Amino acid sequence: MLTRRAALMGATMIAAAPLMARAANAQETAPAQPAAAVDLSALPRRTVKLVAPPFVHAHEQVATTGPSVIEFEMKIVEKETEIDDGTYLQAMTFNGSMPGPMMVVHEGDYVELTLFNQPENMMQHNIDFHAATGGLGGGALTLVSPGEKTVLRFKATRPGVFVYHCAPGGPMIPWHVVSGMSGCIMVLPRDGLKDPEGNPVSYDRVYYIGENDLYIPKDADGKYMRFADHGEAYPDTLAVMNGLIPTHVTFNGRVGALTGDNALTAEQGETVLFVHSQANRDTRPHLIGGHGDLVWEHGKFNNPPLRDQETWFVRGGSAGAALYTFLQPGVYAYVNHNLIEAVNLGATAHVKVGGTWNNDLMEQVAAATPYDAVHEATTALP
Amino acid sequence: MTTRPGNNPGGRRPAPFSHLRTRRLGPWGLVLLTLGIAALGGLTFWAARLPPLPAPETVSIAAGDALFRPAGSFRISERAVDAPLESHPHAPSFQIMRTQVSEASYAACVAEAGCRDPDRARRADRADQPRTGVSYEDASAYALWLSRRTGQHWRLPTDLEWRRAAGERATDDALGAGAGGADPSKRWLENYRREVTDRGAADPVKRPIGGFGANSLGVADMAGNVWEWTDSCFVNARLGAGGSITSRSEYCGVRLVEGRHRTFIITFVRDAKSGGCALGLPPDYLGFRLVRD
Repeated sequence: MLTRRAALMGATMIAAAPLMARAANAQETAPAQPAAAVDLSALPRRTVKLVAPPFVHAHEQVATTGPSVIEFEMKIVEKETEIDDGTYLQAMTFNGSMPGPMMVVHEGDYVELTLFNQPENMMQHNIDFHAATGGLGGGALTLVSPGEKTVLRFKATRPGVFVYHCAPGGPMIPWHVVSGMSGCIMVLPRDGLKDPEGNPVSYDRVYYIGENDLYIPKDADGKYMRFADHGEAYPDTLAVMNGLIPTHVTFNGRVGALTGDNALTAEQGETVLFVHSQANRDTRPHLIGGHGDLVWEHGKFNNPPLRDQETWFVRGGSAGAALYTFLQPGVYAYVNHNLIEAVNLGATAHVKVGGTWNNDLMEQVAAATPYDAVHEATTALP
Repeated sequence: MTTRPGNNPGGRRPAPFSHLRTRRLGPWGLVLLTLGIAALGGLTFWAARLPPLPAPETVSIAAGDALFRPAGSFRISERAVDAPLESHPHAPSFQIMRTQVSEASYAACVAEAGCRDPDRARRADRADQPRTGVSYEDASAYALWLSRRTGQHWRLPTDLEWRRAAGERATDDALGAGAGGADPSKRWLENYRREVTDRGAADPVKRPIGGFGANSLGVADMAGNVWEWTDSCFVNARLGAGGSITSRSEYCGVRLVEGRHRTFIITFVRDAKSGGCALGLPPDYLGFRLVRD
C-alpha cells in the first residue's frame, strides 16, 4: 500500500505523478522522439554577479539585445545565524543570505546556474525554480553533495517574479526551506513592465524583500534553544514546524534586518519596485502611509497589474511585485499586515524617504490638545 | 548521556556519539569531544566490570563469488544510468544476526548509557519486537556498545553484505537500458513506476521478530516492513563509454537503508516516514542488525 504520506511527501519523484498520466497520453498520440540536442552556441553569453538582498544586481528594464544565456553562480552555505538578538538558527542558505539573491533576466533568456555545495556543508541540496519547466523545476537534475557542483540551464519562458527553493526530497523539503533556502528570480518582459493600458512603466529602484517563517524550539524554561549543528536541531525543529505557528517571521533573515541603519531609502518622486517572496507561507505586504500604485499580486507580468492597492496577498510559494511612486517624505513601514507577525514576530522593514512635505496631501490641522469632555463631547458629537 | 539539549546551557549534548563528523566541531565541540572521550573511557572501565554478554545468535554467510550493483548516482556523460554490476570473487564469509536488534536488546544498551533513547521508550520486556526509530548514529553506537560488552567486533553490514545475507529477498533495482537514454524523464517515470510497485504490497502493521519468516539462508525478516541501516555511503560515479567506472566519490552524510527497496537516509534521522529520506520513497520503519567478522 502506498500511504497517503508517502504519496504526498515521500519522494521528489512523487511530484511527477501528474506527468505520468500526461506522458502516457502523449505516447498514444505521438511517436517517442529522442531528446534533441539544443545548440545555443550562437547566442551571446553574459555572466552576472549576484548581490545580497534587499539589493538586486544591475540590469536593463527593457532588453536591448535578443535572448542571451545569462550565467549565474550560487554557493550553498550552511551556517548558524542570529535571527534575533540572542536567538540563533542553524540556517541553510543560497549564497550565504536569507533569502538567497534575486536574479533578473528577460523573457526568452536562458538561465545557466552553477550551484556549488560547499565541502564544509553536512547535507545534500538542490534547487527548484518555479520559473522553470519540467524536471521538478530543476530539482531532479541538481542534487549536489557537499564538495560537488552542478550546472542547470533553463529557458525563462514566462515573465514574472518567481520563487526558487531547495527541494531535496521528502520532509527535507520543508525543513530546508524554513531553514532559509529560498530566493527569487525576476523574468522581465523584453520590452519592460506595462500598466493595465499597455503603457510602459519603469522603476528607479528595486528592493527584494524575502520573507521567512522560522520555527525555533524552546527549552523547558521557555528559552530559545541553540544547537551545535543541523542534525541536533532537526527533531525539535520538526516538532515546532509541524505546529504550523512560526516563532519568528523575518524580512531579510533577521528581526530588524531592514530597519534602523539598514532601513531602505528612496527620494520623493522616485518609483520603487518592491518584490516580495515567501516560499512557504501566505503573507500580505502593506506599505504604511503609501500604496501599491501598480501591483502584480500573483507576480506574473502577462497579467495586468492592479491599481491603487492598500494590501496585497502573496501566496506561500510565490512572489509578488508592487510599484509605488513616493509622494511624501518621511519614514514608511513596509510590513506583513498580519500585525502580530509584523510587530511581534519581526516582519517589518522601514523606508526612509527624503523630500519636501506636501500639505495638500496631508496636514495636521490641530495638534493634540485637551478638550472639555463635559461640554465638547456632548455638543460636538452626536 | 541522553540529556535533551534543553536541559543544558547552550543546548549542546555532551554525548560521545553525537558528533560523528569531527570537522564540524569547532572549539566548543573539541572541548565536548574531549569530555565525551573521557566519559567513554569511564564507561569502558565500568562496562569491563560487568559480566560479558552472550553473543547474539547469528547466521554464517559462506565465502563465495558475488555480483553486486552499488547504489547512488551513476552517469555516462550527463545521462543517469544504472550502476554497473560489480563482480566480487571470493567475497569473505561473515556472521550476521539472525534477527533484527530487539527492543529489549536496545533497552539494555540504553540502560547502560551506551545508546540514546530520545523517546524514553525503554521496552526492556519486548524481546519479541524489533527496535525501530533508530538513526544510523544510534545503530553505530549500539554496535560499539555490543562490541565492548561481548568482546567481539560488531558493526553494521555493508550493502554488499546485506544483499548477500538477504539472498533471494534482495531485489535488483536496475531500471534497464530504456531508462538510461538522453531523455531524463524516461528514467524518472520508470523509477516512479518501480517504486510504487516495490512498495505496493507494503504492510504498515509491525510484526514480532520472525513475523516475516526466514529466507533460504535462515536469516529472519529480511525485506519485511523494517528497513535496515547499512554502512554504505551515497556513491556518485561517472562511467566510461564501456560502462566501467572512471571516477567515483562518496557522500556519507546519508547511508543506504535496505529492505523492500533501498534508499538513502540522513544519518541523524530516526523516522523516515516523517523525516529524512534523501532520495526515493520512505521506508515504513528503520531498524538494524549487525554483522561480526
